[in-house]
Amino acid sequence: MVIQSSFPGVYQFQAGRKTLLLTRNLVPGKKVYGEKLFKDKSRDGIAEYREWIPTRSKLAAGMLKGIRGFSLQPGTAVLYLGAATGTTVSHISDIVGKQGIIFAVDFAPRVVRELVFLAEQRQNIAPILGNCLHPEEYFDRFCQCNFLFQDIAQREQVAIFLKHLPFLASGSLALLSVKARSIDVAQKPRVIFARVFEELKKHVTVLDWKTLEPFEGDHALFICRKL
Amino acid sequence: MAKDAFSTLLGQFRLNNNVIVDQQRYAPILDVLSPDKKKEAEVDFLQKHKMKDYTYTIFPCVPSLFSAYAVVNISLTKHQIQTSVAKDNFISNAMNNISDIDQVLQILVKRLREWYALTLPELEHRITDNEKLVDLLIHFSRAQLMEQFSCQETMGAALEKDDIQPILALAQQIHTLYVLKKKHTAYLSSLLQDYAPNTVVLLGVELTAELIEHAGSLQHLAFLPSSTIQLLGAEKALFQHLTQHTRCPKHGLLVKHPLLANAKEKDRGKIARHLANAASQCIRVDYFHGKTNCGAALLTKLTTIHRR
Repeated sequence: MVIQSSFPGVYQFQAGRKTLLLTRNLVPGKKVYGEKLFKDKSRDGIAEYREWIPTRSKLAAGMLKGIRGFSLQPGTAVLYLGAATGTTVSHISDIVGKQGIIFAVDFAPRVVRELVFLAEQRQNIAPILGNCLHPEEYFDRFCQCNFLFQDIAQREQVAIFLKHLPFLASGSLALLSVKARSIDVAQKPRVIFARVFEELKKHVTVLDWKTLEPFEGDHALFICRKL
Repeated sequence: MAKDAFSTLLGQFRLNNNVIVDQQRYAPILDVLSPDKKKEAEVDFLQKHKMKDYTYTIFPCVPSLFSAYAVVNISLTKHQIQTSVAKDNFISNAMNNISDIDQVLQILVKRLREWYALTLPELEHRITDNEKLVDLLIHFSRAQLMEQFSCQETMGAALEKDDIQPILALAQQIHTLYVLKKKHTAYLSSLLQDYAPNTVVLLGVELTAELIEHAGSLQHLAFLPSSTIQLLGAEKALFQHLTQHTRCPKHGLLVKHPLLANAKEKDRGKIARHLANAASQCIRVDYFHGKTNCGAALLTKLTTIHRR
C-alpha cells in the first residue's frame, strides 16, 4: 500500500524491510530511467507512482537518510543546476506538477538532448544548455525561482551555488549536493563538508545536512534557506 | 519596483507590481537569437512606453508565463544542440567505430577459421594474417587452395555446396567490414589532417584522435597545461599517487608514441615530459589556426635529441 511520506508530494511503499520512495507519475504509463511503476487506489481512481531510486538520485538518498527541511509544493518555479539526462528532474517534475516549472541547466549537449525529449513529454521542464560558471550568459532564459537544486561535480561547486542565489526569491529553499572528491581528491570528506558548511553559513541559513552513504560515497546534501 | 520594463527570452514586458501590463513577444520564437531583431524589438518597446531603460535584474515569477518559458527554452536548446555538432564528435565516433570493428572482426574471424577448418584445417596454420585468409577464401576454391599450399591430402571433409555457402557468405561479410574499416581510417585521417595538422605530424593520427576524445574537444585540449596532457589516460595511477602516495605516473595515452615505446627506462620520464610539451604547442597552434609548421620541426628536434 502506498502512503504519504513525511515530505509533501513524496510517497512511500514498504517492500519488506526496505522503504521505497515514490512520486506520482505526471505522465502515467511512461518510465524515465527504467524505474519501477506502482499502481494504487487513490481518491481520484487508480494512481500511478514512479520509484525514486536513491542510488540514482541524491535527493532521494538525502530523504532516506532523514534530512530535515525539504518541502516542495506544487506550482513552484525550480532552478535545477546539473540536470544531466533528467533522472532527479523527472521526480521534481512529478512533485511541482502541471502548474510548476523546472529550469533545468546542464553543460553537455549529449545529455541535454535527452532532457529535451523529457521536456517535450512533461511540458513543465525548460531545458537550458549553459555553463553554470557563467549564469550571466543564460539568466534571461528563466524567471525568479522559489527553489534551487544543484548537483554539479566541479571544484567551484560552492561558488556556482552562491552565484545563483540572487535568482531566488527571499525565503526560498536551496539544496546543494556536494561531491567531496571534486573539491579536493586527497582531503578527508568530513573536512571538506565542514569547510562547505562554514562558507554557506555566511550567505544562507543552513537548515540541515547529511552525508549520503551507503547510496553515494563521499557526498553530502545541504538544505539551506535564502535569507 | 512598481513599474518596470524587462527584456527576456520571451520578449519585452511591462510590469506593474508583478502583473503584466503590456507585452511584446518574439514571433517567430528564435528571433531572440538575431541581435538586430532583438535590439529593434527592445528599442521599439521602450519608445512605446516612453521609458529610459530596462530593469536588468531577474524577471519576476509570473506563473502564467511558465508554459511559454518551457516552449521557448525547448526551441532555443534544440537550436543550440543542432549548432553544437562539430568535428570533435565525428572524430570520436569514427575512432570508436574503428576499434569496435576490430573487436567484431576478432570474433567473426575466429568463427570463420573454426568453421572452415572442418573442410581444410591445414589452412589454419599456414595463414596467420586474418585479412589474407578472408581474401583467399573469397577468391579461391578448396581445390585451388590445396594446390596453392601444396596439400596433397587433407583431414578436412568435402562439404556439399549448401554447407560451404554459409561459410563463404560469412567470409564476404567480414571482407566488407575490412573495407569499411579502411574507409573509416582514411576518413579519420583526412579529418584530423584538416583539423589538427601539426599534432598529427608529431603524434600520428591514432594518438591525436585518442587525445581529442579523452579531453572532449580540441578546444579543451588547447587550454590544458602540458603536464595534464602528459598524464591524460593515467588518471587511476595519478589519483592513487595523490591519495595513497604511490609513485607518480610518467605518461598516459602518450606512452603509445614510438619515442616513448622505444625509450630506455631511465629516459622515459624526460621524453614523456618533452613530448607532452611539444604536443601542447602543436595543439595550441592547431586550435588557434596558427600558420607555423611546428609539428615537423618539433618531431625532428625530439627525435634528434632522444635517439642518440
